[in-house]
Amino acid sequence: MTTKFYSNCRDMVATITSGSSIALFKNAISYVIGAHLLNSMVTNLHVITVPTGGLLIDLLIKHEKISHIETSGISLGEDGPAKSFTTALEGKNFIDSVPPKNPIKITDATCPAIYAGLQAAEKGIPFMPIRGLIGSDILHNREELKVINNPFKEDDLIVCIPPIAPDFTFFHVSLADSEGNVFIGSDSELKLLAHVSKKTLVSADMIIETNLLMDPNYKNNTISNFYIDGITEAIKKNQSLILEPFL
Amino acid sequence: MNTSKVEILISEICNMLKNSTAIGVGVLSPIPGAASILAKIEADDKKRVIILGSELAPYAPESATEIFDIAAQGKLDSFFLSGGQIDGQANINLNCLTNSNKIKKRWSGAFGSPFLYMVVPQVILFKLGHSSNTLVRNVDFVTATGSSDTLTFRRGGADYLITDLCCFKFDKVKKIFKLQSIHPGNSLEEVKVKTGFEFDYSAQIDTTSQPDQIRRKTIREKVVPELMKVYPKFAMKYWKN
Repeated sequence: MTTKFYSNCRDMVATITSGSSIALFKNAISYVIGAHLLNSMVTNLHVITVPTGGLLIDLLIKHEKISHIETSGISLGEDGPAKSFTTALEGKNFIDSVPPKNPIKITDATCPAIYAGLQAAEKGIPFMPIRGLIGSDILHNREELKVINNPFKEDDLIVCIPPIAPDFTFFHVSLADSEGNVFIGSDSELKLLAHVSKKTLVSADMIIETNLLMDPNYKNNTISNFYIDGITEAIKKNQSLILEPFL
Repeated sequence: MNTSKVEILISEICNMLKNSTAIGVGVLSPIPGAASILAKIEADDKKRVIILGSELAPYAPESATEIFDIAAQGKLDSFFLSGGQIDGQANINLNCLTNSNKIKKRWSGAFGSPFLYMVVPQVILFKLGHSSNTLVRNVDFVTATGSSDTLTFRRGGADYLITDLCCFKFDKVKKIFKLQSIHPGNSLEEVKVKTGFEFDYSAQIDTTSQPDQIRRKTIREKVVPELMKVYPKFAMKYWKN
């Protein structure tokens, strides 16, 4: 087992270094890890939202932790637009929107293209083709996305998405075990993220002694400790409670 | 917009979904969401409605990628898209307004639109705040394109554009919207003044039909309680009693 257990979440977050790329899955955001990241000295992060982001991403922008955001969308849902995100970009150059002229660089994406990039990384292949995107300015503005012809059919253009292999991912789960295996429920995309990220950090409501991979009720939706680098036990709190000091 | 108008929009969108078995609703789309729930109820539950952002059965997707995967396979019949700008060729802009190579106004982002617009057979465009600033001749940024050439895979694309004033049908061959009906209380003159793109219309234009008593009752007694679970603020705003 290589999984390290942290009694203090701050120590786990201290393993995240400035300049790293971090992919964050929208349905399993760890607010406790996020709050420690906001409190840390880390800067210059390249954040990839999987596939979209909300309050934590907006606060990471507000507190100048992010220099590059790769996203299909940042929104606070029924609470309206993500103001730090929109403010950081408005009035700035549209093309060549990179630091230092702009506070953050944006790479606009679309949800399935982010998943396709992660899948390419997971399969160890140079690209994943996807439908759509042709005719969109998102494709037009991103040189790294290539259009090829379907090798199996004439006159059929298709877009190729290069691999996305982030340095870090972190997320919250309800349950982990003392071996470092983590139960992810229906959030199957977390397996994909853990498989492709160089380091995976997890906060869990509860860490139990029973090996989850030995339990037929849990094993199919459990990530092996092989992919988990750090775990801390922390009861999930409401985002507005835990992120309030950073608003 | 009053509750009666909201119910007309829900009812009219529900009519557009009569041939769809699998319907997807994006984030922040309470009226299309309500219309889809209504369509499912009226079809005795024989439709699958997936509402992105919902965590509750039966509307929650199986996983975050489910909707994109079934859409890619052609198993999703209908989806809704909107935009900060929509133009006369059915292009949508969800990214930004630009001015002299600078970002004047930034929106949330594309979400799944540049993909779903191409792979879903029926896309219904939905836009509140019908004005010449939102319905424009050409969008500043093409987030997702309204039409494609023959080399590009596309199952369907824009079918209708429904706004708070009227309903347009998109002519895919001529690549132009045709005015189909005007909502009760609104006029052709108003639609002309507030639309920034050219559109076709005939001498006789229908008035958008209103939901009958039975459908209105279904909306209030069956759809709204479901909506409370997915879009509570919206449901409270229009049906708080």
